[in-house]
Amino acid sequence: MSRKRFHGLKRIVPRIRMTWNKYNLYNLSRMTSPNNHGTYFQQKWKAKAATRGYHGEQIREKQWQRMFTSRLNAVVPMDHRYLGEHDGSELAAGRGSGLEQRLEGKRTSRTLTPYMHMTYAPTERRLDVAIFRSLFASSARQARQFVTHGHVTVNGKKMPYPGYLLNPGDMFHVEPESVLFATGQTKDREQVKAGRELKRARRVANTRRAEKRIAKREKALQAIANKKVAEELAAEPTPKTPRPVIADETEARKQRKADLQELVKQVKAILENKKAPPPAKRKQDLREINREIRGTMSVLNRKPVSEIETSIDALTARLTNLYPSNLFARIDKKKKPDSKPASDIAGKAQSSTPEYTAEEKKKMREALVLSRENPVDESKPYATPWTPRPYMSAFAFIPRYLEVNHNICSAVYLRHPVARPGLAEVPTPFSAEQMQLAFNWYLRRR
Amino acid sequence: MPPPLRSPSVLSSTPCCANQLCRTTGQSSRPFSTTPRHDQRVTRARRGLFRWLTLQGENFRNPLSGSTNYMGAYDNKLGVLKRVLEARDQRTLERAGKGEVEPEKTNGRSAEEKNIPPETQRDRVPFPHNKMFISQAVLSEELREEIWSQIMKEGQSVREVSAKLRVEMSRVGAVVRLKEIEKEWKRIGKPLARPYSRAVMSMLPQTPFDPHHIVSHESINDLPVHASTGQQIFHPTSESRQFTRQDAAKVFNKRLLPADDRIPHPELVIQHRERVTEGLSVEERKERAELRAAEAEEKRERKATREAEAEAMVQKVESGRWEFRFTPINTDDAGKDGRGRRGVGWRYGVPLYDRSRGQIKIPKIV
Amino acid sequence: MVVKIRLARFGRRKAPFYNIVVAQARTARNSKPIEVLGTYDPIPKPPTDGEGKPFKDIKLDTARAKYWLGVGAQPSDPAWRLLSMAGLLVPKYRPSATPTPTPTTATSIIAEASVGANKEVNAVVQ
Repeated sequence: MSRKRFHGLKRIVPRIRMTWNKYNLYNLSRMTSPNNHGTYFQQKWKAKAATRGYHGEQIREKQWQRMFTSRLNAVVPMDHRYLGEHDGSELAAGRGSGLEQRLEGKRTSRTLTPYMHMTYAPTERRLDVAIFRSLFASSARQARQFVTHGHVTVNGKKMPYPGYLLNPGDMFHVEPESVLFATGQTKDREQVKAGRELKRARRVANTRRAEKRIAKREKALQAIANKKVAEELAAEPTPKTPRPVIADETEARKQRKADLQELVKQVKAILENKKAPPPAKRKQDLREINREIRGTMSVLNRKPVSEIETSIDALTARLTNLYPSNLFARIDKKKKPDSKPASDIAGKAQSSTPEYTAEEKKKMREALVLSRENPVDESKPYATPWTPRPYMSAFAFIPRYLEVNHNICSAVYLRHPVARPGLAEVPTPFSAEQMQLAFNWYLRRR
Repeated sequence: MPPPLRSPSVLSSTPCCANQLCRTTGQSSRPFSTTPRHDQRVTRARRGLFRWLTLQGENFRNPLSGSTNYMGAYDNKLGVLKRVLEARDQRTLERAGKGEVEPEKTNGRSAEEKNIPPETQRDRVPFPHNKMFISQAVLSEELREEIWSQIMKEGQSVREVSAKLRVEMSRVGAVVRLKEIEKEWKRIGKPLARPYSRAVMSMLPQTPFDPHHIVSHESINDLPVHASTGQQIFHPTSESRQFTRQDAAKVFNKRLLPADDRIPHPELVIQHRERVTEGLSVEERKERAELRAAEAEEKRERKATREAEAEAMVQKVESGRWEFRFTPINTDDAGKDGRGRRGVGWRYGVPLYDRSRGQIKIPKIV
Repeated sequence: MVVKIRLARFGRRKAPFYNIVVAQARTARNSKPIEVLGTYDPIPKPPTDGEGKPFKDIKLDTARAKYWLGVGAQPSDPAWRLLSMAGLLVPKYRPSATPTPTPTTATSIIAEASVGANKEVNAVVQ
């Protein structure tokens, strides 16, 4: 469906959709409460059409009819103090003799449970809808596309089905790049052009560099390689920083495991390097090392930490012997880069402008950190530095049945949505009357 | 009438510009084309859209700093926050009471109009027609960090933390899970989506964390409404009878537990009863708590031993690549006709519906 | 006719699942067997605690398997492999690193297997 028809300005009763689109916002602002003209059937039909346009518009009607259930989930918040002090008999005592309290006065919207708003609760279980509700996509359709394109995992496994019904406790994760693209501002024409040029330039540079590298290697390979390796080996043993002592043993084991995995990755990268495949002898050595790493990994939890550390050190040393110029010392130095740039910045700030006060310096540092987290990168598919897309704030809410961590673009589906006195957890733009009509439509067996 | 807009500082800092709103309608990139441009035709509906977007819609283009920015908070005709209007009315009333003259509106709005009054629950309605849906607060970063440290560093149980910080138990577990991943990402140097997270959190209402004054995030003792309590039952009893919640549950359904046992935190009820109703001393309460803990521990141990026994029955054989696990079964479970429910293996002579229409083909659980 | 212990392939395309069955040798693979001794899921599952080797699930009624071996059922090669892993038979094939004396005759194996079987098995063998 084209965007024009999807948002349908022409309609007298515009369709509200699950998107953050400005057309949708406008339609939401012109929404009127439905008039009660027509027969009951007509009213139900209209209510059904309007509500289905929002709830699971991407789901086929038959599929939704199968999902629909007349069981509506609700909870009643209980006060533990009341439960502790009363056993419930005070409510029953004196019934029928005029002692019971009259309930009419209490029946306000705060005590009523909006059951009818739970009509479309089954659709909220779907993966695509949950992604939209977690604010990871700007529309349910986009969320669906993310799922089918393989950008979404559920409990760490790729899940390509947008209709997957989440179970309580399921964790889903969307690729952060996709999320930033979906929720960020779009590029304007110049930025698009700049991005394309950048990509082209990179491609050209890459091919040129590859050519150069091949030529260079051919020259260098025969003569010096072996000697140089030997020389370097003799001259400088691996510079090593002492590993930080970790008090917690499980934490240490975790870290060592990650180190081992990193080693495996590096060995694999060398082995699978198509451009510069290692010679056969070296391949054998690498495989040997790989085998030993795996052996160490399998006994990771049985042996003491110190022993494992020594074996890791030995393995790293062997690798560095084979490839002295490589980045194998990276594992041990990982802690460093965090502190270095900050001190650099501080140093710069001091040297260039000594008259800044501490407050200003702090602010500058914060701004620098912010800009580093959110850099200008023309190659990204969204406008950089990243800013939220327009009209997002009007739709930004997270229902309580989801627990979202936006830093890692992951969320946990805690439980099925429920209604509670005065509150319904299914986000819907429609009034209770309309939802009731829709509920009655689906309640009927046709 | 030109609507009063929000403070210019908010607007000027934004990168959006007005002509980005709609694709320019007048000029075409292909002036020689004779094809009518239906797509860009200016109809009355589109005029209405752009009029709204430049007037009332302008409020929603960028987030409101320090507050949520939902449609329910605005007066749609004027395009002004309802709470701002109310504050303005309040001030006019006060001035009228004092007999002051309305200050002239020459240099824009006065300073007191610039700071927006704090939002209320009414302002957290994203859909103006549905007052029953309110954008509820999410956990703030500090509160999440606190939950994580209480569980992972101090080693408290989920139940305790949930009761103390007033956050549902499942949410506590989820927060810890997500935080662990976040920390792992930080450790391995995987970039977090910080700018996105910061922007989203600024648009959402949050539950703050203050160690001295715990703000309740949500109700932790939610009693699920059971299907069998949906009916109205006329159940005559004698007037003198103590008809308690236990009795009521029995009337609804023989196997239904009373509310005291079906809520997630029954221990809070017991503690309160012992402290207030029964008025036990501290030592007695402690003793009882220990007794309960011992009982729970015993139950847990029994379960653990049962699981260990089942595990011990499994014979494990290591081969080069795999481990083979032999689980003992009994062929008699399949029954006489071989179709018993507890029999193992693919069954013979029973149709499989997994490829037919209307069956769920995608995984139900991962 | 010969009674065999063999695997019957069920499951789906690229998702095999086997029933370990006792059947007449001449019957079709997936036809109704004399008895289903258990199942074999050849698709390895990742280790539950995240460490160690991936595992394959086998369900087996050892007592019935012993009985059928005792009365002369002939295991197929894959079935032999599984049953030997469960300790019911002497392995036919061994990795070359650790050579072991191969079983001398089929009768000796059967006799060996029937030692652990119940009384009625012994009666049948005699």
